[in-house]
Amino acid sequence: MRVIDLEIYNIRGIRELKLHPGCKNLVVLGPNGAGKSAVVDAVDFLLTGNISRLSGKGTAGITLKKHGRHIDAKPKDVLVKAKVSVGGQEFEISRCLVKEKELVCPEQYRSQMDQIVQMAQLGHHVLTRREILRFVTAESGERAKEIQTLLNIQEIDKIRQAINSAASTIESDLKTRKREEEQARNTVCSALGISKYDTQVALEIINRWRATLGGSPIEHNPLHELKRNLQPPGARLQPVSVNLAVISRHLESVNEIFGEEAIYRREQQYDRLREALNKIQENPRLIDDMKALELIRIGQDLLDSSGKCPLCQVEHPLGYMQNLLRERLRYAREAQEIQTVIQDAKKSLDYAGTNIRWALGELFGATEKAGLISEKNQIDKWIQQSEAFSANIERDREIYSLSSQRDSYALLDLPRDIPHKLEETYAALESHFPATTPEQDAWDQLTKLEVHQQNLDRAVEALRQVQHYHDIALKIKLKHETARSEVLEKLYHNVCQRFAELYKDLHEEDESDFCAELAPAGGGIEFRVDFHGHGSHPPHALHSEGHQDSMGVCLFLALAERLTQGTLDLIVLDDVVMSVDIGHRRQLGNMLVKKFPHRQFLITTHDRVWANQLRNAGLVNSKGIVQFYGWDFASGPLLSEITNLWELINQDLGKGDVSAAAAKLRRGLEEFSYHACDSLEAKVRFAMDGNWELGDLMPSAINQYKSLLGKAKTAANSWNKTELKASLIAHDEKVKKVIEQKDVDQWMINPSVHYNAWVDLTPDEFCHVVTAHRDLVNLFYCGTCGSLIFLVQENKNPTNVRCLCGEHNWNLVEKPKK
Amino acid sequence: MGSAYQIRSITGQILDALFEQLGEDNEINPALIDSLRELAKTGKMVDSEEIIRVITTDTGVTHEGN
Repeated sequence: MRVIDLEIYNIRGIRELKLHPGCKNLVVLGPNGAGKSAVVDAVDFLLTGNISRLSGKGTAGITLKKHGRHIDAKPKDVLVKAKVSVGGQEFEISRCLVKEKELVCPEQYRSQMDQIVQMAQLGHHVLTRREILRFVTAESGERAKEIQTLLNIQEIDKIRQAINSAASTIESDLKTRKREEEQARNTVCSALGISKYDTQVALEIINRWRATLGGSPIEHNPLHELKRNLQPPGARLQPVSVNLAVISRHLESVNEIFGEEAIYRREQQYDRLREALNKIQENPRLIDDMKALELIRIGQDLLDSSGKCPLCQVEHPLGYMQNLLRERLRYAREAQEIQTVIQDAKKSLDYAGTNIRWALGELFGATEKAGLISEKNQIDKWIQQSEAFSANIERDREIYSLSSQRDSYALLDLPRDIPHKLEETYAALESHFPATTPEQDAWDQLTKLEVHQQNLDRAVEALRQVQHYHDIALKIKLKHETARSEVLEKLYHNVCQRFAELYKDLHEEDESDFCAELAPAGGGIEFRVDFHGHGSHPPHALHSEGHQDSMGVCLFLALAERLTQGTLDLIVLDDVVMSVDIGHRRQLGNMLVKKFPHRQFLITTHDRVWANQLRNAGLVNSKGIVQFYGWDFASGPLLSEITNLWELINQDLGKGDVSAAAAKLRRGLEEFSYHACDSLEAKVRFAMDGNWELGDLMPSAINQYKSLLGKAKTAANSWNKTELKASLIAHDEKVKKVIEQKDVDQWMINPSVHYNAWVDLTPDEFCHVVTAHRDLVNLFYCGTCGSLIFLVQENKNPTNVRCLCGEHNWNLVEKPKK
Repeated sequence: MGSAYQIRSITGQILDALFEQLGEDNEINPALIDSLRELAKTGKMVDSEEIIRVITTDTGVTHEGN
């Protein structure tokens, strides 16, 4: 997007201002307080609906609604309009303070403008002195923030966090599903009377039950197969409320749990648990590490580019939190191993607890039905003990707080006389309930198994589904990490290369081997630059303020170039060269012309020299410089366009106003001679205060011009370039005539006499003076590109006088004599 | 120029690279990638609930028809 016309009404210090850049670059020149930055604010408001200067640190109490408008303007009168060119299409856009969120534009260009607005809102379009400070001289975290804002890293981090959070949530769900599946499988095992699920063993038991019912064996045990082709046993005379056969099998299961082998295995688990707990007792910090392990992992996922602690939001230096968590995770590795031992032990012990509770539950119901009160109470006590045991081993805190003394494990163990007492209870139950037939027992077992198998099938399916989601989430997370690293590393590399290239272009004289590093570091961005081959350092460590400003401009341009190519061509540079010396300002102007030919620059400056350097570099022509002479409350910026000096003078002469024309001619010649001396490196009488009169500068510029032309002629002669020599001689003749035409040298000698004398001339007479001076001034400009010719030196030896386009090129180096 | 997502912003470049990598994985359902693209277009990739919603509505049909 480029700006053709810009109309500003009642923004900040501007009442009404119309500018006509015509898609070309524009320089707004004026003293401090003249309203230059209000133009930047207006562009900012038009593109973003905000004025960035009125937000951020130190702007408490300042609002767009109240302070964005001219002090006594109504919001409805605060308006910025522009005719813009986007992708070859020209249309009008506008924004009013009444609806500051709404950019008015033709509907067919809405999507294009949305993209442009989005980029502008990230700050891709404007660089001010304030941003330079943030880029270069501020703390590294602030700098990173500034760069990250341009790159929109915050959004990238938000996406990363959302993806990681989604993966964590699904992983947590997966753990729950696994636990549910395991519990359902244990229940099926209990129903089958086996300790560990084995398909073949399960099938054998099922087929045994089926055989009892006269059924044929099945080869698989899906739910619908269990009772395939089986008929229920005949009707019973009276319902059997307690199946002794089932209870008997539960007793077998309890016996197994309290069998020597199982106790031995459990003892081993206890030993491992004890060993782990001993380690914890020796190093209590492990408990904290174990508790923090999950938190550390979540914390790593939640870290963002701000460097803030994700928990307490306290800001730390970049990379600090990441390093801290990495270190904590390393220390927690031992804790992690201990945690694995504890989890395994818990799992094994919990299995025993679940099976005991299952058996006790069946017996509890049977004793209740049989009215065996004391047995029922005893079983109830064991159930409670067993539940407490399971609940305790579920709670990590209880485990960790156990001492390593064996006695303390009583909590984890159950009375070993349970099997014996249960046998007695079973014997009592036998006298209350008739024994079931084997057929009825087999049918009941298959019925129970059906229910448990159904639950297991559901749990398996749920687990399979969540496992699938988990696999996808993990792939998205890993592939996003890879994509993020690849894109950012490539971007940083390219931006850094371009930055160094631009910076070297500005500082080729003193830092031709300059290089820089821009790389992700922790959550931020590390930016280091070479200092004259003496290692890389932060940009504000050793370089001068002027060099830092150059870096800020170059880094911004490199970033903006990468991010807005082909979309937002407009780049606003608001007074960005305050600390850059005059030589490097000229270089910057040349660099903008050379390296950014397809961008539209809006540059504000209070520095006339810089403005003219930009004109001389060909970035703008004289019509591209808008000058504010001052500001007043009623009118806003006092505007006078330096369109074309000669055109303005002619306008004055057309009105018969010789006085105004003479004043303009003198001011114009002062500016011209100042830059001509600079450009051709003419010798000028030294003045400590830097105040030179026209009489000091113009003769020096002319003398240097003549001298360089003489050298060019001599050089052409030495190379025997007769045609060139003839051309230069002819040009020399022309120069002499131009200079002699009005004896310009003499005009300069005593300005107090001669300039005053101008006002006594008639318009026609003064017209000759103007023509003479215009012919003289035109000698110093290229007829093709319009840039001011300049001296090129090599090792302080003049080699050429040339213009920016190369059309004007005098060789000054003579052929070496043999 | 098209929708906001199509801006060659850094975020867009990263998401494009992600979708490309996911597209090369035969075990990922193309419809899932389309749904994620839709999320990106509407700026909802910053919402973990939305991502979970997309993942958990995946039918599991992949390039290989599994």
